[in-house]
Amino acid sequence: MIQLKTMLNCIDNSGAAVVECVAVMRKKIQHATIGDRIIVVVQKQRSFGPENPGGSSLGITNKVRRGDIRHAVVVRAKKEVQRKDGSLIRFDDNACVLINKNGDPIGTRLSSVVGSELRDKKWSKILSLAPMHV
Amino acid sequence: MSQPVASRFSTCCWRSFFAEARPQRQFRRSMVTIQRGPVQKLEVPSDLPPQLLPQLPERYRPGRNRRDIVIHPSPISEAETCKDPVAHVDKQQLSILDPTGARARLFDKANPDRAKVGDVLLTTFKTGEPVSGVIMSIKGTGPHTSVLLRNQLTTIGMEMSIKVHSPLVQSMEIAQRSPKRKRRARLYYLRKPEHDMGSVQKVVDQYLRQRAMLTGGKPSKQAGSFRSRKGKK
Repeated sequence: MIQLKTMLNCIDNSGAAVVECVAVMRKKIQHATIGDRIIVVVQKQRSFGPENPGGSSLGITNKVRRGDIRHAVVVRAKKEVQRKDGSLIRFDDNACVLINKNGDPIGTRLSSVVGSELRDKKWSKILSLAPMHV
Repeated sequence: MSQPVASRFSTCCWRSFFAEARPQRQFRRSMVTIQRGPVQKLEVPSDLPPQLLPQLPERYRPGRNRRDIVIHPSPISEAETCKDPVAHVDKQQLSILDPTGARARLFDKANPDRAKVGDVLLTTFKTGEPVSGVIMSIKGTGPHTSVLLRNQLTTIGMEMSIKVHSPLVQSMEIAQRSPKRKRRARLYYLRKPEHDMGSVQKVVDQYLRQRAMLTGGKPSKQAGSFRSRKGKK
């Protein structure tokens, strides 16, 4: 149930760490869940300095800055989602991946698990980046 | 002359004067309000000449009332024959979903070796995808039984509720029993960081290795799904 003002973790390496939802796109109900596209504002940047020193040499800089308005896809949600077979899935946090207007992810790698509902909603690019999906 | 009359009858006296006259009204009752007894139905005379019969309305003609009404016996109530239809359907469903009864026995309350909350359960789906976790709660009865598994994947807590008798579930095994009986039926406190069990992947891996040793086969590829999938890429 991601709506206006929800703070989400950003799990890609685009440079954002925490983002805030400002709008849910193309939904009549104003709650986004896994696989929904939302608009976010970057609230906290990720610092790449001491964590991976090799990153700077590879030219990984923050692609987004604090205050940027970006599109994103929800990949994990605290609110449980019911699957077709009756099972429920629930994660401990709300997380998203930043994308550009065309729907391609801005970052190049994801750090943690994503929900399988992305497959149904045709986010195969994000799924292929993810280390695992359940 | 009129002067003394008016003095004798004041305005209030006029009213009482007319009140005396009022009871005469009840004699003027209309014909409609007079109460009549129930209308007596006249029988059609039996010796009516047959040529007059067509003048009668159809329902008064002789032989009309002698229609015999068939009284059917009431159908046998379904509720009488099947006292507990839900149990019947449940049994039917279980015989389809779980023909051997092994899965039902795993969660049967009477079974001392059943899966309990706090145990680590390894579930494999028909697609080959394993899901493991600590049993937080067992809900429902019969074919509706479901288990809530909790695990940590890439340090992110994840809970999954799985229908035990789902046709998509290939197998369910207990990878580790909880050392002590849990005093709660639902271990929702595992969501709190201080009680969280963390990832159960190590426990599952160890269980799979032991099982492979016991059965003499090589460790199945279920072990460490995370790593194997990463390796494929």
